[in-house]
Amino acid sequence: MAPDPKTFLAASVLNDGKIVSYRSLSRELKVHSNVAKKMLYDFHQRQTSKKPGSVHATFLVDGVSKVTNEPSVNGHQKDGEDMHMQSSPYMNSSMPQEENEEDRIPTRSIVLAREEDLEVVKSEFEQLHSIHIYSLGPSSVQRRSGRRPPAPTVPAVRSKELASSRSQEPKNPSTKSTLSSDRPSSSGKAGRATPQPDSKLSSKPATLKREQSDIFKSFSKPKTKSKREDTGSFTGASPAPSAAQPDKKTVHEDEPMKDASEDEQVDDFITEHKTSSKQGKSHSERAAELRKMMDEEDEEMEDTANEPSQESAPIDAPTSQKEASPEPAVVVTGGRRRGRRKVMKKKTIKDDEGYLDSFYTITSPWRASILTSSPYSHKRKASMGILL
Amino acid sequence: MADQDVDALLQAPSNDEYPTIDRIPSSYNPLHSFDLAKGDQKHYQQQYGDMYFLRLAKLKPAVEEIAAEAWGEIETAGESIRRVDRVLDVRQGELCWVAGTIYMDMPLKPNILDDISKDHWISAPPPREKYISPSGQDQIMLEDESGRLRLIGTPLQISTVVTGCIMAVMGTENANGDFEIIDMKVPDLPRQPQRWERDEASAVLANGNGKSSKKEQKERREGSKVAIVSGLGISGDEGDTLTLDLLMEYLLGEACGQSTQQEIGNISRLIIAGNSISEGTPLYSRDELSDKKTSKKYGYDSAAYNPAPTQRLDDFLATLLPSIPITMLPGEGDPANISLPQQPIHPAMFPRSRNYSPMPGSTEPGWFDSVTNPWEGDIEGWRMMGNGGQPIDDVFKYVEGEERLNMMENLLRWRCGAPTAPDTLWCYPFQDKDQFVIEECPHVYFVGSQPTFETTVIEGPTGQTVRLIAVPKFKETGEMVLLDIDTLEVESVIFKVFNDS
Repeated sequence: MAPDPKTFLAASVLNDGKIVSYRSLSRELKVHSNVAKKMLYDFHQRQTSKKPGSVHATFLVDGVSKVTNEPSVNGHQKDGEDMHMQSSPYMNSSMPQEENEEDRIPTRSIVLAREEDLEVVKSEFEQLHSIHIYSLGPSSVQRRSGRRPPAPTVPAVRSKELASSRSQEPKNPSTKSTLSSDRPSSSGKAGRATPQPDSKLSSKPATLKREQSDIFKSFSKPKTKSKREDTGSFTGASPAPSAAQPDKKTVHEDEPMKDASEDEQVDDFITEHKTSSKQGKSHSERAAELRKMMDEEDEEMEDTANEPSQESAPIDAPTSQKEASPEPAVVVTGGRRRGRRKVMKKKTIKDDEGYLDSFYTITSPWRASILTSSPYSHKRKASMGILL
Repeated sequence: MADQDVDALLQAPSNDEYPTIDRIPSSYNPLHSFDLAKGDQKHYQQQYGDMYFLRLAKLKPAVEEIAAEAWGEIETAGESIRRVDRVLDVRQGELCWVAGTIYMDMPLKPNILDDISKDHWISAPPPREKYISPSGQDQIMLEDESGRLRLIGTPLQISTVVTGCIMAVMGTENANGDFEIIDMKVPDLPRQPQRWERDEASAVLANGNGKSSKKEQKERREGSKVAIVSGLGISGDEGDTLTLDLLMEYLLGEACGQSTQQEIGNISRLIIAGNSISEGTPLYSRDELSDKKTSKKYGYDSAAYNPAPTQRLDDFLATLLPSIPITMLPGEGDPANISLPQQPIHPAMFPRSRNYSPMPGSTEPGWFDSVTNPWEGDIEGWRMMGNGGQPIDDVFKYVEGEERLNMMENLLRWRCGAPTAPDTLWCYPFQDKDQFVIEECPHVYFVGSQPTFETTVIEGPTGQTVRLIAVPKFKETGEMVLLDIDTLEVESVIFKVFNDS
């Protein structure tokens, strides 16, 4: 019942985008693990000769490392520096003298290396015992952890992205199909989740980023995106990856193709995020200005929070004009501070209503306001409690 | 290690047959020295003071013998050095020697009375890395059942002493009442059993005649190795599994080439020396605890309990167990009791691997042996002794410097597996016997969860040789230690992922 290794590998690596390790292959095909290693090698050879870069291998190198392990060796010899420890009177008679002979504790290293790192790793070895392919995957993987179910956080992140992408992605509808198919297959790679936060942090103009693909490797998909459109059309009919391959290689070998789709979303995400942050900034600046000037306009904002009643309607209108869109977020961020300041500004608000009221505010800070504004005394007291 | 072997697996599959490699069987005969009584038999009402008394009673004769030999015949100015029985009998100005327990009075050492008087109002400061006070306020004293004697003198500065070790000191009491030390002696290594001693004895007993059975002989194979690993630190997160998988595949003999696989077949046993799980038992500070209480929930609270680490450890063990027997010691962070001797991790933690552990009540050691934290036993005839690292980590706080091997050596020479035990290291209040006193010198002494891998051999006065191994935390170093049973030589295997970031 054992299927042909080539068809199996082609199906799972190329079509499904899975990572196949020698272990899973030997289990799947019921062959000796060493045979499975050779099968992986064979498949890798064939694929790379056909289409270089279509399959990425991870190698396991076993041997004696060149760099002698410092800590393991000099642990006891270091004692020489601290004579007081070693030469305690009751033991110097029996202190072993053979430490010098033990200079080198034989150390064997077993190193997992990506295909492109293999030569570097090999050069670090003094003596090689064996090399074999550990796993094959559709692309080189930052961190292989496919065997385990993804951590709960990852799906959450992804789903968010998906949602955002869905809402903002009508640009090229063809991609959607590829997305959905690609996602689940490579869902095991948790490493993916980490780059994204970075990208958000380094929020740069989306246009800029497109040009910088080389620098920001994780965002290097701009080209792949176009590619992906192609693949999108392909996916319906036939296995996409092979077709996509050449483009991809030109971009960057490492890139998991699935990223292509995500990249776009990331862009969207970033732009959105950025705008919101801008608003946040402007908002704070404005707040500062307002505080200085004690204009009437400031108060409207605070009022909206504080006083739901009469003034709210007229006030709301100006704010909405000034601050374009996603107000709620901003309000939330400033929340606590505003709470305190509200009180002060409230007096200013009273300015708007009548000049007399404004006097009150000036003479006595927020306590005055408490006294004056009886209907809201409840709230005030509560807030006072917190403050005190 | 021929060249062709390097690339042997970088070929197209051929019709090569790969023979099944048999693992060398392990001869294993654990001691149950540190098993505590179960259930009702275990009490915590006793005072800890008895432990010091028992320890002194046990070790005083040994150290006095050594001291008498060294100092008994020395004569200065026509007077021999007088032996004093009790600390209180020391006379000012008289050259004498006396044996007792060291007690170190350190202002920075945690003090239970301080805890009670002060700690109610503020949360405890983080535990100190060292107890040594930089201003030199520490005092070293020698005590026995009669009293205490403050010790001064250069031998104290050049040797390592901690609370709880038994020593004999020679010198004079000066005008201030301080005892000026000229020389000091420790009990040094105890008797070391011959290899196979216990197994032969039991065989002799079993057979009734002088010949050991053939079965016993058959088990003694050449060239086997024991793998020791510590601090797996399984957290159940996704990120840390890769080196763990490599370790597993290596031990299973699946990874690497044929020659290496052949060598792996010689590994007859895996010892896990503590801290298999990271944060297995989160301890909440007083503040946190009060917060917790508010969100009390009846029954299983998934927010308070994370099953992933133990599950992952269970998977790891269950994958290895069909191939290799495992001895597992608990460590500081493992789900066992905290005070030494830590009792075996309960099999309920391992729904899959417990099939390999012995039937409850049986005396045979299991294929999967979950053992106590200081543990000793015979593997391939050699006496092994090991712990999860707490005694060394605690001694580390008392002394200057970082030399873990030195501390390990001292522990053996003091004949005390956990000298600081009732003082700063939590332990069970032993009543009849201080179980930490080392009565038979091990051949191999390993300590888990140490910062780096170190090893050396020490020798005792009567020709004992002990291999000391400080086993590093696997999670941090990716290192496993292989002990060659024939030669007691050590090598290390490092698993890593190149350029993992």
